[in-house]
Amino acid sequence: MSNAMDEQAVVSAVDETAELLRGDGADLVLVRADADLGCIELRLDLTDVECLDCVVPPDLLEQMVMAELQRKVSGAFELVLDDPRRV
Amino acid sequence: MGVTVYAPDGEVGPEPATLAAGPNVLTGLRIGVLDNGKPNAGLLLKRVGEQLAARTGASLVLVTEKGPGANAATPCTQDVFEHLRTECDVVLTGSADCGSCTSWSVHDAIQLERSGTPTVVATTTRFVELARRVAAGFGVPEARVVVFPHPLGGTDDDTIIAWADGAVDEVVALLSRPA
Amino acid sequence: MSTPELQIAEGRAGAPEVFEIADASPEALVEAYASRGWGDGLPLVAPTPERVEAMLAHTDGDPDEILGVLPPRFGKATRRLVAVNAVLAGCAPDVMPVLVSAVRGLARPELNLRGVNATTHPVAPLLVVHGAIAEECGFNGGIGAFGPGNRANATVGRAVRLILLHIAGARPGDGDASQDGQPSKYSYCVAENLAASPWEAYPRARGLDAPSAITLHCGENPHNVHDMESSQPGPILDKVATAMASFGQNNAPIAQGEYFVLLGPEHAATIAAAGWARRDVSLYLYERARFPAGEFRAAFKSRAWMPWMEGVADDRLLPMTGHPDNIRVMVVGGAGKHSMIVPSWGMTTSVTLAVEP
Repeated sequence: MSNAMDEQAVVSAVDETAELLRGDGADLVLVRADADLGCIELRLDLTDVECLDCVVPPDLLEQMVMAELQRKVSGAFELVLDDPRRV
Repeated sequence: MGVTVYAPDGEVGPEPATLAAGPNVLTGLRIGVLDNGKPNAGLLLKRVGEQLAARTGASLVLVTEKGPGANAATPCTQDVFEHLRTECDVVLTGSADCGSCTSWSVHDAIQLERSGTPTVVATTTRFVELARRVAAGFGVPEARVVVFPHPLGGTDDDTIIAWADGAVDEVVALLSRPA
Repeated sequence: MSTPELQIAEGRAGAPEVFEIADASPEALVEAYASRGWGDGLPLVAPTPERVEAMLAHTDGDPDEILGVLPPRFGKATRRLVAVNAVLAGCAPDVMPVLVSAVRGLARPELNLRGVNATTHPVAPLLVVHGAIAEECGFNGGIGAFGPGNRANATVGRAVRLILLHIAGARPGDGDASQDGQPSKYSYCVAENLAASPWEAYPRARGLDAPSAITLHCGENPHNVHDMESSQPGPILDKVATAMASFGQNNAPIAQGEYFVLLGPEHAATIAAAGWARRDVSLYLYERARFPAGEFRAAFKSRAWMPWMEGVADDRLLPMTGHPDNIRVMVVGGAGKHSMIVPSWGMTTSVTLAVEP
């Protein structure tokens, strides 16, 4: 049983979730997917967002990202989502 | 020499939600509108509600915003929820035309469905995918969603009214869908 | 609705807990399980990681993907958990696609698993296996179909019950309120006897075109009907109708209640030889299994009737179920002059779905 994290699967999952945010001008950036540490780090990019309150709320966003990653990426991992709205 | 075995029961999850049973006919029923205050949401939903009533013999009995302290980026207040639940048989809500208002409109709609009130969410082409994803996350991928062109805000009144009139058939179909 | 909760219900569950039992004997396993409230009273096969992996090799997709959330406990059912319960039950690994599909069926809203598990009535999901997988895995739809003796029938039926006990949390007295229980709550699984059927496969009749399928029907133990003499459909089905027409059955006051009519091959052959289709059987039984409406009203103050039934006068005959399509016909069993009926619990609708791993 391989422990390698499938980079393609991560990129695909991140992109599909990011698509749902682009309507408000936000985006999800994959900072790193570290197979050895079992860690996936993402950053929410709000640079082009006109209305901050309009973006999907932080808790729901994290759950949606997690659900999509779990669907596509096999093996255990920890998700770190850098959301600027969270102090 | 011992043995390693699995436990057979697994984790517990959130209670799955299902849609409320759609009414067979809308005649005589009470329509409510939950307006989240987004630009043109009120105009659009009221028009759909009026036309729906005219077409089916139902009545538009309640038009409400989300409540004091609440807005498009929050759920409706408990009081508003109770009003809708007790005074209406079906509800139209929206507009779901940004990330957060889509999230909360769908949330409100599913809470209403859980309480037995079929609810249609008015969303736009740019946010329908998100609406469906959020609904699926609640375990109700088949939530009732009617899709309008994007954007609603900034569009002139006559166009909004034309879009509303064009959506009535779809709304009837969505509300009449069995559970 | 005090604090809003936006909770995602889909996705994947964590891998189930694993623990050590110092004594590897079968007795110690049963005791370790019983002390945790698990088991069905019969000996168990130890669900070791190796055995569970062997089961999972016969499935496709993420072992920890949530297939369904099962009430009243709202346990998240995954392929891995299905595999654990399949090992416990003594299943051979090739039946896993049947069990995975059964869990999907149990989670269907129209089956109303919450009601099925929570009621005081005796009810168990009857699992019928159709088509290629029934052949390949050696399920029995012929002589002795309801038992005992066939490994696939016995263990798969048992695995379904273990899933209900463990994942769904339907334990007698705590989650399962069935007053008396019933023997079919140990194991309730047969194959459709398509080889001996004069009609097309049952899933086809329900509009499903799949090489392998399952049906789940939540109902009572099977009721026997024997007719040794008739060479015509009418008299045989008249007897079936008398078995259906009873106020003691769970679904008597419930118009949506289904009846599964499991005709033995010889009865089916007699009926088909007279030119009757499956639908003719349903229509005839709908006509014959009746009581005067007034007797229904006297027997049941509380009824779940369709609106038209309320309009029927006391002295007119009312059918035991609201629509002929609720009378579902297929062939099960071996040589002999018997048929079985399985009345439903009532507030449940049977499901038929394709087998997918």
